[in-house]
Amino acid sequence: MIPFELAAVFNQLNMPATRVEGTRALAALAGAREVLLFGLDSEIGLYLPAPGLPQTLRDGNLWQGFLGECARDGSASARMPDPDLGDDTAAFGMTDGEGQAIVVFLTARPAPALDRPIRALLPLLGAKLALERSALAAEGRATAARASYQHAVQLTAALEASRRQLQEANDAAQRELEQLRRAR
Amino acid sequence: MALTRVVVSHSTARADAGAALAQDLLAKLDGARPDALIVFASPQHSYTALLEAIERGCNPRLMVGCSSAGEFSGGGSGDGTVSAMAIQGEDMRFNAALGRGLRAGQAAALDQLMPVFTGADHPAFPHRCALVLADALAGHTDELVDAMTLRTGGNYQLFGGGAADDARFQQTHVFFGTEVHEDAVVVLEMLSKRPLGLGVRHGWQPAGEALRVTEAEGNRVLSMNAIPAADVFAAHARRTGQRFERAEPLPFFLHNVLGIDTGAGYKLRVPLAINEDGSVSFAAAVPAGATVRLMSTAAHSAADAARQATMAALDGLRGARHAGSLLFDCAATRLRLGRGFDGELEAVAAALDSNNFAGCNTYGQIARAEGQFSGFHNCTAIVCAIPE
Repeated sequence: MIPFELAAVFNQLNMPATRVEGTRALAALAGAREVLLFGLDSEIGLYLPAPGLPQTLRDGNLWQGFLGECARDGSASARMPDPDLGDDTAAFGMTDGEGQAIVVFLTARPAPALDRPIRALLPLLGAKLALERSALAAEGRATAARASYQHAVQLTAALEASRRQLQEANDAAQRELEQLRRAR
Repeated sequence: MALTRVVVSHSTARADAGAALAQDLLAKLDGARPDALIVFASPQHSYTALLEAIERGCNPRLMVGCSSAGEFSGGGSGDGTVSAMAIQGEDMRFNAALGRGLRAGQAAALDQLMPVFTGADHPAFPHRCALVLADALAGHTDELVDAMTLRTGGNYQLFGGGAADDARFQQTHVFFGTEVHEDAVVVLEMLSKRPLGLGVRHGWQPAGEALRVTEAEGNRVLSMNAIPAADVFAAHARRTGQRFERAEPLPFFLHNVLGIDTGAGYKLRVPLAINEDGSVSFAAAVPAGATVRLMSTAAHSAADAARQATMAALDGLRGARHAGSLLFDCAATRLRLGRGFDGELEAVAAALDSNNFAGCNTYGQIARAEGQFSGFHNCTAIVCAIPE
């Protein structure tokens, strides 16, 4: 049975705009000081902070190592540098079944009664994060494509102006040639 | 007899550099007045005094140039020096203009420059080229080259670079006649009866895994893969056995730049400094969300790139004899190679089979030619070959 409060927290976690509040609420429910949430970037094969959350982690190299362990083993525990304070903190991370998301609890891991429902809800969140990541990538590509399209339209207009200029120059040259022929 | 004469000179003198250069150029032109004179000078010189001395000495019809971070000609190279190229002849026409207020955006500066593009009025000179020298520290050079390409209908081969200041990154200047300007761009229109050749190459290769730029603001990258940008460089240094000092990262940065994956190659970005928050500032913008890789090169790669750029420029002459060339390369390349940069100049001279070239090291290089619609580059050798 999934507690109502947890379902409400995952609703917040589902939206980038309310994700910060969601991580705070999940930390409060689990008795942890902080919760971090990561989604898989399939192009580079690494877990990155979910959109809406801080995108830079202090000692990020160590964190990537830890996230790799979580992905490999399904869950992992370690002393990790706190992303805000820098001091070593107990961290517990768990991934969804598909390996799309990792949620990390700092200072305390969730009680067994909460652990199972979190694992049950995590795949949905993981799927949402994968969609967001794809959407971000698509948006980036679309932005680039829009810029390329606009650039192409502008270039076409500029080249058309050049073509007209060349055509006029050619017409003028033809007229001069014709006049020369007639003069002979 | 050649219809276009190109002569170059390089001076290591401090006090009389302008007079010495003018005298040398004038002698090489048999006393003829240069139609156009291009000057590159280290910030160790008093620009106005230098330019006035050159003008007094050889009275060029047009003179443009910029401050630089290393100056050279086929006859020599150095730091704290001056190099120059003079062009004279009936088969080329020149026109120059200045655009001010670049810092506020490219549009107003470009409006001031547009009258310089007179190619359509001179059908007897169908080959159109323009040397563009910009105050790189004012920014907007990328957009300026793009907009210039559009407003000239793609009819001009654009080349040049960002003015430099001996790698101090404080103040860069462009020269218009004897005037010295910051926050400005200068253009020399070069119309020719025969084609000019333009070659563009860089010798950098990906040297690491793909990285995601997770946080960036303009030219400052805060993190890649959620890792503070400086830590990414430090980890790369450990992995590749290179020395990396956070307090003095420039030696490492000169050998390790960032390549933005464009899907059709890499756009290079030179890292300049590590900030207190662990972010890294670059010479040009790096967008958040971009896929990037750390790139590396070797001295022979830079020389090879310059040689290939030279060969491409010579190809562009379409059989005409080579009169002289302008060469631009990155300030970072010179700093990285040190005395080894002479090897690059030797490669250019060998490819040209001539020492008749001049140029300088710039902050960013400009090249918009056939097949090169991305106009502003870093760490790239650019050669413009001028026909006789």
